[in-house]
Amino acid sequence: MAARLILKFKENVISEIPISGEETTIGRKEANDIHIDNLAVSGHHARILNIGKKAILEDLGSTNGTFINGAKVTKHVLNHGDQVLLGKHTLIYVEVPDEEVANAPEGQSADMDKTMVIPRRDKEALLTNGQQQQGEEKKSGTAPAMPLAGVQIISGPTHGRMFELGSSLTSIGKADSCKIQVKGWFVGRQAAVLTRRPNGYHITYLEGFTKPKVNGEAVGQEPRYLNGGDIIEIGNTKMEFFLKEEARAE
Amino acid sequence: MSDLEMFALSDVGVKRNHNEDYVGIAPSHGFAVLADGMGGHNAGEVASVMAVDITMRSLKESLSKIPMAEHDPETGFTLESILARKAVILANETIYKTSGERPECAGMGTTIVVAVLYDDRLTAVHVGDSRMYRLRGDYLTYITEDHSLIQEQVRRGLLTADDARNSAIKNLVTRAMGVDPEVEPDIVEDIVQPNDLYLMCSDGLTDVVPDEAIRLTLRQHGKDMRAAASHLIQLANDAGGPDNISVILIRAGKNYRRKQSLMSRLFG
Repeated sequence: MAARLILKFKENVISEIPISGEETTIGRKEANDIHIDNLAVSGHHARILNIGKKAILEDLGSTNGTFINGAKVTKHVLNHGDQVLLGKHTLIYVEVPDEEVANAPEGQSADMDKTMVIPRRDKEALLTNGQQQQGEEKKSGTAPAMPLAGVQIISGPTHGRMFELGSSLTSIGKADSCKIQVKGWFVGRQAAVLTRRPNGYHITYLEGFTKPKVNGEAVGQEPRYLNGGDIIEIGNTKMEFFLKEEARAE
Repeated sequence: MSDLEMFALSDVGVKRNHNEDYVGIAPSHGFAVLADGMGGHNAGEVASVMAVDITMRSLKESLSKIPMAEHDPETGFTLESILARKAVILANETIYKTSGERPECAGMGTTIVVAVLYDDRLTAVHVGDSRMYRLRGDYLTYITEDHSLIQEQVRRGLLTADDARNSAIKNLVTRAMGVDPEVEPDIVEDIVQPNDLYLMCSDGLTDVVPDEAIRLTLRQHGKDMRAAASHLIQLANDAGGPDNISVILIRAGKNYRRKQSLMSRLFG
């Protein structure tokens, strides 16, 4: 079982380091195998010992300590997925099956294909490195963070009207059931749909001969992501898409 | 008139000796559920079976009492979406409680993806890295977005989709059922077009079979859902079958109407 460490600073992955040999040292000084140039990291901060099939992490009496999955440790047997926090850097311990190991009988070693869960607090620690991001870190509540947007009709019979896109789906077309009604010879009854999803707004063509256009480009059956300021055109109507409030990343 | 076809298939794969995935379909009620359990010994199976059973029972009960495709102005979702989310939250609470009470179940968890069809709509509710895709014409689209560390990094622009496929940490999920007393399911609503084909699947398929191969298989065999499902599972097993593989295929005619209780037909 080979293993590697993924080194991250705040949200950024800096490098992936394979660990091999009996000892891997981690610290601020250049003589370390893993050299982290940051004052929160001690000169000789910690080391990882490979003993048999296990990798053991040992704090070498560092000033700011070593934390694994949120708990301070002096010695710890590493498990796949462990997050080691040193100062503001995070090392994620990842086991990689060797070619030979892949053929070994089931259930012998830690299984890479096993899905694992990162508890929510660790996920935040991992993605933000435990930092309060300028105090704007939002406690993720039960409602998924979704952006709110609207469209304003900029030309056409309903010129000037504004529609808030608060629904999960907002349809555009000729049919009476469509929230945004547009006319035109070849416009479908439900010509297009605006979808509101956790990852933002998209427009998708549904039916009719006329396809909607975004900034002059026809939209097909692939959903097209909408940015604030995009101009949507369909039949006799042109509208501008705008974001009312940006959802913060969780 | 309405018609709805569903087909589900689950396979242990090549490397595992038991199947921790679980699937359930209820075409007459218009919903389907798939779960991929995790946890030591047989606890993963317990979690996925509980997730599917509780969600299905709750939906069967609650869907019959509401008018179809009614819109809730406060949340912007349909009542069906809200009920599906509630069913998942209820299942989560029960799994979490069981995991705390029974030592052999400690630490169990599961993903879930739920499809509910009604009128010309589909609601997908999901937690974890089990997915839903839609094939419309030539295009295969993601309906859900994985709750995985990798996907979060892609969303934040730290990784490209290609990096993600090759990453060593693709099996770290950021949301799961049964690990916390609370869970945040994502809800996605979609307008169903005639001949749309929806695929729900566990990561045993998507970790080893590229999207393009899924698209081509659905294009080629989509008319025969049984053949399409077995081909997908064969592809995953040919690629080593490292995990359990489950797929559910759904095709709805336009304006699918579920069976309604007499009361809601009269007063709905």
